[in-house]
Amino acid sequence: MMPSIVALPLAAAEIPTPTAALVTFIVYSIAVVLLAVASQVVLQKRAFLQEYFLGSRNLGWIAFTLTFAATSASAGSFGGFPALVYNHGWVLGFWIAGYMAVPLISLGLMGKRLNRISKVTGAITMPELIGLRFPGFAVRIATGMIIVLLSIYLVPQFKMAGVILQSLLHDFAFWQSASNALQQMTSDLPMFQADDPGYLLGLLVFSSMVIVYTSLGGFRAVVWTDVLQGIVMLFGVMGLLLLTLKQVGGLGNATQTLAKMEPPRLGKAIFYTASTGPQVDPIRVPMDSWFETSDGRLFRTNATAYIDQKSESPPSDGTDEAIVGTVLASPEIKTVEIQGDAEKERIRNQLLAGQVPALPPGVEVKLLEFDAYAYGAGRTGVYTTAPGPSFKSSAGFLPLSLAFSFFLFWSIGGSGQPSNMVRQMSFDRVRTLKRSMVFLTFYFGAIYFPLVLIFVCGRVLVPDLIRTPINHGRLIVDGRLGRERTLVGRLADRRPIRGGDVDRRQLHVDDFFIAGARCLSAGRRSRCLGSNREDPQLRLHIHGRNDCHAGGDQPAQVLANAGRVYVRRSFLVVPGSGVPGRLLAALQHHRSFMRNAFRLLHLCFDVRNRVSDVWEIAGV
Amino acid sequence: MNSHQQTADETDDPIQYDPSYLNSLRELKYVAVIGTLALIWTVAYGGFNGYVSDAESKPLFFGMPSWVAWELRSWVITSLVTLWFAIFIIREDDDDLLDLDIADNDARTDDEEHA
Repeated sequence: MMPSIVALPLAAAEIPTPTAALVTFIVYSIAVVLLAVASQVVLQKRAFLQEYFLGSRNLGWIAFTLTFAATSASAGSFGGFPALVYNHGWVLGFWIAGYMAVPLISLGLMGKRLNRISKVTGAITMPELIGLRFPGFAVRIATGMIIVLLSIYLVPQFKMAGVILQSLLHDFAFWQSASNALQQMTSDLPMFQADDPGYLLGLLVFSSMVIVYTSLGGFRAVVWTDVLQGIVMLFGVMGLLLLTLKQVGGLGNATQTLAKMEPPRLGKAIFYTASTGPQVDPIRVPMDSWFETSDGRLFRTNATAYIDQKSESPPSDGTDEAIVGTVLASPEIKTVEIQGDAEKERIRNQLLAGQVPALPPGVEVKLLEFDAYAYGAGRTGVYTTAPGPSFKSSAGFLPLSLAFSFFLFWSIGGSGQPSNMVRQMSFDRVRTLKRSMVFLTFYFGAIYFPLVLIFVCGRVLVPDLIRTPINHGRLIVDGRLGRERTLVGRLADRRPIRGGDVDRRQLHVDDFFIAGARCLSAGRRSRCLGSNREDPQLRLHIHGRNDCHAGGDQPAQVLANAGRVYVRRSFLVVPGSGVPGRLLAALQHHRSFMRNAFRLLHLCFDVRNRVSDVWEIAGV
Repeated sequence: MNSHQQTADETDDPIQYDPSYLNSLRELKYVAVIGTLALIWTVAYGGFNGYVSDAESKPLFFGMPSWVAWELRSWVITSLVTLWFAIFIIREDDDDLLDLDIADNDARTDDEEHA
C-alpha cells in the first residue's frame, strides 16, 4: 500500500520566532571573525604577498577540496537549481549530469600545470600568470574580462545573502531597529527607495563581513570560511534529504505521484464581491489559497488578492452575464489551474483533508485566460521523463542538444573559472591534488543529486507554487470596528509607505493591521502599546512629523500626516478609548497572553479575512 | 614555431621536455578519454531512454525513473574511474618544487633571524 503524504497546513500557520536562525547567524559570524583573526596571525608570520593572495601555496587536501567545492556551489546551486527541479522534474538529473566529470576535468585538466607554472614563475594572480604566458595587450583584455565577469557573477551571491539574512532575522527587534535606522539614513537617496531596508541591511552586513574577513585574513581567511560553508552545505543537504524523504513517504511514492501529474495551466483570476454600501470591510484572499469552481476545476493562487478596487461593473471576460451594480474587485492575481483528475483527487484528499476550502463569504472569482504549457500540456509522465515540461518552449525544457551543451558547460567551464584557477595555484603538492580529486568526487555526488531528489519530492509535498507573486504596496482604509472608524491595513511588500503616497481609499496589508487612529496621532510610539522595547512583536515605527494629529474618524488623514510608516510584524494599534483600547491596555500587562492573542488575531484574520470577524473571534 | 623548437634548431639537440609537462600531457589524454566516454554514455543513454512518451511503462529503480537511475550509475562509474585516475594515473612529479619550497623557507627563516 502506498504510504500517504502527510497533509500540510494550508491555512495561515503560526511561524515561530526564528531564534535558531539568530543563534546560527551569531555563531557563524563569530566563527568567521575568529577565522579571520587566525588568518591574520598566520599572515604576520609569513611572506605577505604569497600568504595574502595564495595562502603561501600550502593548502592541504581538505581545505583545497572544500574551498573548491564551495566556490563551485554558488547561489545558483541552492537558489536557482532547486527551483528548476521543482518546475521541471527528474530531467534536472540529466541537466546536472555534467558535474560527474567536474572533479576529473576541472582538477585533472589544468590543476597540476597551473600549480606548477605559478610556483616556478612566482605568479600570485591569474593576470600575472596570463601575462607571463601571453605578454602584451592580451593580458589587459583578459584581466578586464575577469573583473567584469566575476563582478557580474558576484551580484546574485550578494543578493541572495541579503535576502536570506532579511528573511531569517526580520522578526527581531534589533534587526528592525537597525533597518529603520538604515531607512532613515537612506531616505534621501532615490536609488535605495525601491528596496526593503531590511534587505539593504542584510546586504550591508554580509558585504561588511566579507570585506572584513577578506581584508584581514586574505586568501587563507576566504579558504577557511569556504571550508566552513562546505561542511554546512554537506550536512544541510543530507539532513534535508532525510527529512524530505520521510515526509513524502519514500522516493518511490514521490516519483509515482509525479508520474501522474500533468503540467498546470497558468493564468490570472480576479476576485470580486458586490458592494454593500459606501463602507465595505476589505476582504483578502491569501496567497496560495486553493479554490474550486462549480465545474470541478481546481486552482491555487500564487499571490495575495485584496478585494478593494471599486468598479461599476464586475470583471468580465465577455462570456458571463454582467452583474449590475458596484463591486469591489481585486487586481488580476496569478493563478495556477491544476490539471489531471488523479492529481486533483490527491490534492483534495491528501492536502486539503477531503474538501477544498470555500472562498470568503460573498466573494466570487472571475477566471481570465489560462494558458497551457507549450510542452507537456495534457500529458502525464512529463515530470519523470526528458525533456521535461516547459511553459514557453515547445521543445521542452531540455532538448537533447541542450543536454549535450550543459554536460560540456559544467564539466569544462569550471576548469577555466578564474576563482577556481586561483585555488588550483594554491595547493601544496600533487598528492594534495590527487586526494582532493577523490574527496571532491564524493562531495559533488553528495550535494547535487540529493538536491534533485529533495526538490522532486518538494513538488509532491507542496504542489503548484510555480509563479513569482507580485506584491501590491497599497493601503486599504475604512474598515469598521463597532462605533469606531478603523484603519485596517497590511503591508504587502514590507516596504516603507510614505504618507503622501497613501491612497486614502485603499489600505494594504500583509503583515499587520491597524485599528484605530488616535494612537497614531499621539506620536511615534503609542502609549497604548507601552515601550517598543518590551515586546518586539508590537513595534510601530512612524517616521515623520511629530505634530501630526487628526480625529479618530480620519485615520487615512492621520496616516497621511504621519509621514512614513514602516511596520515589520503583526501589530495592533487601538484608540485610547473604546473596547479595543481597553483590551489592549489589559493585555499589555500579560505579555505571554498578548503574544498568543496576536497570533490568534493574525490567524483569524487570515482565515476569515474580515477584520470585524477577527474581533468577534477574539472575544472583543 | 615555438620557443622549444627554436632552441632545438639552434642547438641541433633533441627537444628536452620537462618530465612534468610530459606527464601532464599523458594525464590529459586520460582525462579526455574518460570525459568523452562519460559524455557519450550519459547523453546517448539519456537520449535513447529519457526522451520517451510512455513514462508509465518504465520501471522504477530505487524510487527513481530507471533512466535517471542509469544516469546516476554512470555518475557512480565516472566517479570510480576518477578515483582510479587520481590514485594510479596522476604522477607525483613535483619533488623539485618541494625542494624549492624548502629552500625558500630556509632562506626566509635565515632572513628573519638576521633581522
